[in-house]
Amino acid sequence: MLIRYSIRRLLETIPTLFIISVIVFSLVLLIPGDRVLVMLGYSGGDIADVISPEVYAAMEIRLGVHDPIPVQYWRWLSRALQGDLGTSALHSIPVIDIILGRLPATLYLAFASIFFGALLAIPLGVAAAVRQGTWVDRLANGIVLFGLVTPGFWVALMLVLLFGVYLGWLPTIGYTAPQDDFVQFVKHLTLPTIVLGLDFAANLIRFIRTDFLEQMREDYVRTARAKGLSERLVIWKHIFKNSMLATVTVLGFDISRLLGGSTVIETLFAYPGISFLLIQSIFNRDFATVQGVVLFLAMIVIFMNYLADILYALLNPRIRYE
Amino acid sequence: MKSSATWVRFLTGAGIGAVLLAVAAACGAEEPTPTAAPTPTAEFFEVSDSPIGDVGVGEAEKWEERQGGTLIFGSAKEVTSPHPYTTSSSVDGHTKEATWLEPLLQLTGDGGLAPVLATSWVANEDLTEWTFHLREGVLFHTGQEMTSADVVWSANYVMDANNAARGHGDMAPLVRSVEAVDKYTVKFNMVGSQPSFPIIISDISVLSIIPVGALEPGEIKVSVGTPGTGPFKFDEWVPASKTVVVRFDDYWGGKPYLEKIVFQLIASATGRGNALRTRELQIAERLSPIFAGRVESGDIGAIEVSAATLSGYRRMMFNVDSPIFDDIDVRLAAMYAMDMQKLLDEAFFGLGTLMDAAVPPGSVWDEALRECCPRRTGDPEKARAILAASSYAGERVRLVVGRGQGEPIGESISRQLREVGFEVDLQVLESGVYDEKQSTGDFDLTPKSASWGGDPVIDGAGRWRCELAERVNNNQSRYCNPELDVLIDNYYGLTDLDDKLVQYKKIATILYDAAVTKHMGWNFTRFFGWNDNVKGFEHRGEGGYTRGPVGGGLWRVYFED
Amino acid sequence: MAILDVRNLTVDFNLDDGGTLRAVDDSSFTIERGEVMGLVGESGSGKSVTALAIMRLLDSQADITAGQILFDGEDLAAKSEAEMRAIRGRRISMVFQEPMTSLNPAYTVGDQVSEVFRAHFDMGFGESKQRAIEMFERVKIPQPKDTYGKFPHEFSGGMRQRVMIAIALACGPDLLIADEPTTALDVTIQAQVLSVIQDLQRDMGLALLFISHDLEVVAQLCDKVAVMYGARIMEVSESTELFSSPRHPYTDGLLRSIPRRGQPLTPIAGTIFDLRSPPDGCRFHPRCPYAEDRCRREMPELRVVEPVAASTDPGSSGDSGGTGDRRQAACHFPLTGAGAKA
Repeated sequence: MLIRYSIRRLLETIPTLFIISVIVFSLVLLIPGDRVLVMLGYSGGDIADVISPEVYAAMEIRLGVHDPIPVQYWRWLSRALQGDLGTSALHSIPVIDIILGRLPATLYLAFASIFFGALLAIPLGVAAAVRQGTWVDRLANGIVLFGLVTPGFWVALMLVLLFGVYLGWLPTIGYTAPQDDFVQFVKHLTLPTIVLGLDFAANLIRFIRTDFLEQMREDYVRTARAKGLSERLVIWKHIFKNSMLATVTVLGFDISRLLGGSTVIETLFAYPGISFLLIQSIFNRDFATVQGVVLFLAMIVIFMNYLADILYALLNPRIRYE
Repeated sequence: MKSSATWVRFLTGAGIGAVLLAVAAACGAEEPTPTAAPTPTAEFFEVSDSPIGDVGVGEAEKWEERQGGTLIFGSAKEVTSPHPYTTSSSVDGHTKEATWLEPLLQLTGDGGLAPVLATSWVANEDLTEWTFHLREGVLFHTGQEMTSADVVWSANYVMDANNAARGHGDMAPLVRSVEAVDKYTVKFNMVGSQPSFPIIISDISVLSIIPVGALEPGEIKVSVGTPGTGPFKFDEWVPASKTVVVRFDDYWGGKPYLEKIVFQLIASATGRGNALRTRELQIAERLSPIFAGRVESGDIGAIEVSAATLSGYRRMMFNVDSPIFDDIDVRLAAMYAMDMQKLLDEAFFGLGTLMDAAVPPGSVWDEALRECCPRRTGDPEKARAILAASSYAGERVRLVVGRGQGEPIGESISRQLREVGFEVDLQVLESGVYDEKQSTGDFDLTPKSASWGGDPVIDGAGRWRCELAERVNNNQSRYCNPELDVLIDNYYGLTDLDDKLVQYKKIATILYDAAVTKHMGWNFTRFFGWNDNVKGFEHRGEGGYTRGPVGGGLWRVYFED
Repeated sequence: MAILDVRNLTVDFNLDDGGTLRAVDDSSFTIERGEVMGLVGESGSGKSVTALAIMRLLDSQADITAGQILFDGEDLAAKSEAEMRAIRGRRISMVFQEPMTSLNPAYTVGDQVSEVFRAHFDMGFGESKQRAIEMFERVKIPQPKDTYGKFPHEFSGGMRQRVMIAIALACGPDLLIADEPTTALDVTIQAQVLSVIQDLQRDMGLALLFISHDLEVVAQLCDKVAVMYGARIMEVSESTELFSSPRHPYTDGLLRSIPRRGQPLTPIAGTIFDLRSPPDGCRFHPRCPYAEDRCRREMPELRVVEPVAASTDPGSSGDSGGTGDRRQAACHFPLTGAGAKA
């Protein structure tokens, strides 16, 4: 039953994917800058005079920039469907390889942030709801407020100054692959994880607290108490699972946001993730890479929402038949 | 080494230009000598205390003591491609030049030319042939020796339009052919007389020497750097992240000390500063003035900083096709409204000194300009008067600037224009949009950056040719004057400086009378910083961190225990 | 000794606006072992609050401000939360009104039954599952084994209420509180569920506090009935006597407002008062057709009322020997016959 539901939901993503492919494709047409010059190896302006008009024209033909837009779109899409996102405009590496090369760093950071954020948010959010009005609640509210009003880059800078510059405990830039040096990997991951995790946690705490308070008023909670169950069971078994139902949906959005990487954080920590790649590609007018990364990120968002739906179905027995 | 790291080295673009011009003038003066001896020779350019002398006795011991270590260099921009002949930014060129690629010769800090892969160079009497004698025993990273064949191949590769090389536009119009005279001698046959050819090819983005066949014809994209002759070999390039080079033990100038250098892209200046403090970086470029100030005041310790003085140069371009600025009086009013000293104070915190012209102050070109075209310095009163009498009726002037450095310029200029009665619509745009607006003419007024390359017509005024007014990104003002075209064309054939100056005055006068552009030049400061255990680092005055023998650079950098 | 002896129970709600509301006011009643007692009254009269007070499951803004709840001789009102946990589900259980929402949608019904065993006995999953399936049999759920792994949404309301009953009776409690257990169900299903409750009550010798506003169901099921109005108990009586000869005008009114053969339907005039501002004197006096000055001034205590003369009502004389002395009403002028004033 769940399998059939999963397949159906998967098929439902196809129109979305189609629309996104059109948007991604036209996005690049709309981005200003000379595609031809970029393909000739130049990312900056003011250098057109070095290129001979013949060479420029030849590249125009090779790129097919004068073909009708639908033809260009179809050419791009049919390649993309075969996993070919083209090669970067500036170098000979296939875009998909660049993305895949960057993906682990972003994934590690995303999952570490989610893990850290959830580890912080779930107990705090629940405690804030269960002990409404106590110091735990105030602490949770404090974190939420802090996360909502403090820009990530500021937190990042403060952490860098404290843990990097003054205490010297943690590195402030770069990334080490776990297979190269696990301890360094963890150290490099720590500060960006805290920054992203706090932001993630702030949202999550707020959501869990509100939802938990609602759940606590439900009849099934009274039933559970009437059974003589311990408060621990009532909260962590009965309320928690129901509360997670709604939380999973929110998590789906947040996680896909994190998987896209955080431009500001990756830039500040010189962390070689997907989103920093995107920014640099935009700076360099590397259109194929921009297109590839945006399409890839859009697919991650769709996939994560899909996954959240499936997880929701798993948690919520009612949805399977609907 | 020529000099140790100094606090501030005032080596301005103007300075370089002035010295070169003096040299050029000297050449001209020697011209009448009846001997057939080729006139401007390498001796004129050679740096007397070349550090090459350091290499040799005692070096082996010193090397053992100093060698080893990985240096992480924090770059503000990335190497956009490891391709030797497509450089998109100055960082691109500096990084390649400091490590794996080398030119035949290079500009020195005090304005001369120094030998690199060429040990001497000489021109024939009328400067239509340039002959370069190559250094013997130079090895490529492949292990094979560099010979004249490689130089001929590299130069031809750059000049072939199909290869879309950066240096094509600089070299192809000047060079008719290149030939190998013998194993270590290369002759460039020029189109007409070309006095500044050595200066042009001293730019790494124009010509570096790579082995024959290192690139396929038309190979525009590479992801791995080609072999070169530099002190470090290309190792790895990760887009939007880093470039890694490793020591080349057979470097002709002697083994470098460092095992490896990682050029790590850290886009944020604060990030670079912090990482320098945590010693995750050993050297960082483009640090903030605040950071440099704190190091100076002793607030931040164990770090040394040094300032490179760069010459910034902008032209305010009027779009003569725009309904506002098609009236020369409106252009003149705007010119008198703009005070360049005010701009410098407002947009660049008064850092640097004003040059207020397109040519180095005090140079022969500058003198020529003063004779023909008196400076239009800021004069709001005059601006108001001209404006009142002009066709201007309160239309909004679209002032288009690029995000980043363009913003303060835009704000200062719009304030000044408003002061005399202009309505201004300041558009701060992301660089791509900015470029596009400029190339499509969708603006009224825009600042454009430029650089001084030694000749005001070849490097600057050549842009005003009518054919370029049609081409993207060249003549933003769209000004076209066939009379000017003829003057510029004739200029290219001139060899005598006095003739050039006369011709230049004519060109400058036309441009001055047309009032299509207002020049603004100034010197500004860029800060380098390094950990105090890093020794031997020296950057060039204009912000490069050059390779070994001449500029110091990274070749002789080592860690002190 | 009565299994449950509620003495002068008073429950106050702290309202958000700072005021208080007395939801149960000075209420007393007793339930003997194996006895079925009905608690009737209109909605808002305090029935459910009384039940929740006994379970000590009141909302955080409600407090037991006076009285005692003696369960098997021990005062529940004075027990700690931990002590109450050991009692809830084990010795006192409760079935709620809403079968659709009272079960946790995220767990199988089997798990929700078996966890009670695990909570109160040192029992593993295997054994608790076995016991849960036995309970499904006892509440007459068809295919009890298959039922175990199903989720609440797969069942009808009646079946869910059986699951709730299975949960409540799993540990063989001494007292079951059923708060309107059939109100939300269809009439035919109501009867089935009632018969399950009735059968199990007899089999297990349970004391049952049956809360309902449905007098007919109460009449059919209960030995004894307490009538609540406006947070106070108005009358306590053997159920047969109550229905034949109500002593409180409110009870009388209630009986007249349900359709009965051969009698005209006459609803009680007026509406129930706002609990935040109860009337002085007898709470019922604004709606009482017999109210006099004293009723407006003085609140009548619940007290034993004189049995009606045996000669005038032979129907009740048979029972009067057993429980007649326990017949109580809170009225200055209790009724003496069917609808007639003394």
